[in-house]
Amino acid sequence: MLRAPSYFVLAALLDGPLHGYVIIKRVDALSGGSVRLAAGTLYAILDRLTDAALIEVVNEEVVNGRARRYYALTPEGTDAVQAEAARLAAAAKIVTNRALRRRTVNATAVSPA
Amino acid sequence: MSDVLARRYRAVLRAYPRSYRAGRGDELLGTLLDTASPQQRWPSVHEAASIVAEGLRARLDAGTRRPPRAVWLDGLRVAVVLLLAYAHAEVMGDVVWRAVSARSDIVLLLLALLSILVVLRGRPVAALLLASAWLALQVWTHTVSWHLVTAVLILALLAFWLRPVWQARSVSWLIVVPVMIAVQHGPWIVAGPVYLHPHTNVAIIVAAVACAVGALLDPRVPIIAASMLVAEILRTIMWFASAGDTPSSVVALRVDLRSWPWVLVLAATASILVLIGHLRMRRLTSL
Repeated sequence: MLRAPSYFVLAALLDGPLHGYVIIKRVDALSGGSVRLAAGTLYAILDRLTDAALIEVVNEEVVNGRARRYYALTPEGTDAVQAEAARLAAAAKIVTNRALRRRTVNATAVSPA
Repeated sequence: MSDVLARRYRAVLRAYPRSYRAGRGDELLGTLLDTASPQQRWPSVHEAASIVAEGLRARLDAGTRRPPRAVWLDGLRVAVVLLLAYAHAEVMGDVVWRAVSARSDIVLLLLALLSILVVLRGRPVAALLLASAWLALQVWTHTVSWHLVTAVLILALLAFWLRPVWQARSVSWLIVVPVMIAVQHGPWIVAGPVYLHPHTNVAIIVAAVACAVGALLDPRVPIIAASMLVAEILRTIMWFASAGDTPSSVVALRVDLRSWPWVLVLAATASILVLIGHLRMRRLTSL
């Protein structure tokens, strides 16, 4: 299971490596404004995801005299975010798809006498 | 100008430990300046709060990058160190106020310091042996410290059941010894003729609340606080009485539940703290 901020950070990296500031902007856009990361929070998430081998640093350049690192998904990271997306989609279908919900519920329902 | 802002953000970034700043500081600063508007001269509150919180967590090595079990065991380890230091401060108090140093006191102080050191170096079994020897000596001299009893119980739990693999911790942690002495005996010395008992109940509740707040930063803090409260509960309900002053005098161990409402408050607070610590730990270590 992934918490929402981690999920959106991984999702932001699906289309290629990004660096800190752009990740924050993209997460804001992808989540519809519901996940607004401060820099400290972002780097804590990046550290956790790196520890879990879901992302890695792929490039480093010097901009304005400071290091800028680019992060990308590892294959495990791609699998993890896609698995989470599938899980969320299945959970959403129970609400949006009435026929599916009825089929699932009927298997457990106790019919009145 | 962004130079001014960069200087101010650098100051806030000092919340992070030096090793972290050496590796990631520039990158963090770059991101902070990218997110700032061109005319901005002061760090935003949102960003500054996030930096301070994460920086302090990194300093405390709050275990957000380790599995929950390791964080629990580390919390218990720090709890043992504080309990032993507290018991040591009690012995120190006895020695100083009585102004007479019996040989057993010197042995007690040595055993105390050794056991704290051994816990810091990461050897729970050796620490258990030393602390048990210390406790045995206390029983023999008829003054039992319930903080020491709690420490021995936790060490027994660790040595026989949980079996942690601990890395040696810096010896500078021994600073807790003088800190505990100051905490325990400071109020006496400062207050002078006014009787300010160091075990004042209000201080305990205030400390418990502060620890719940500390849980925001470090999930080990509530675990440590709960351990100290367990010692306080034991101190309140258990009575180790001796009929005389010689080692061969009859000793009795009694349970006194007359102050059960207070014990209930302490027990409830300890349980809530453990729960807070556990929940925060699960949250901070999850992805």
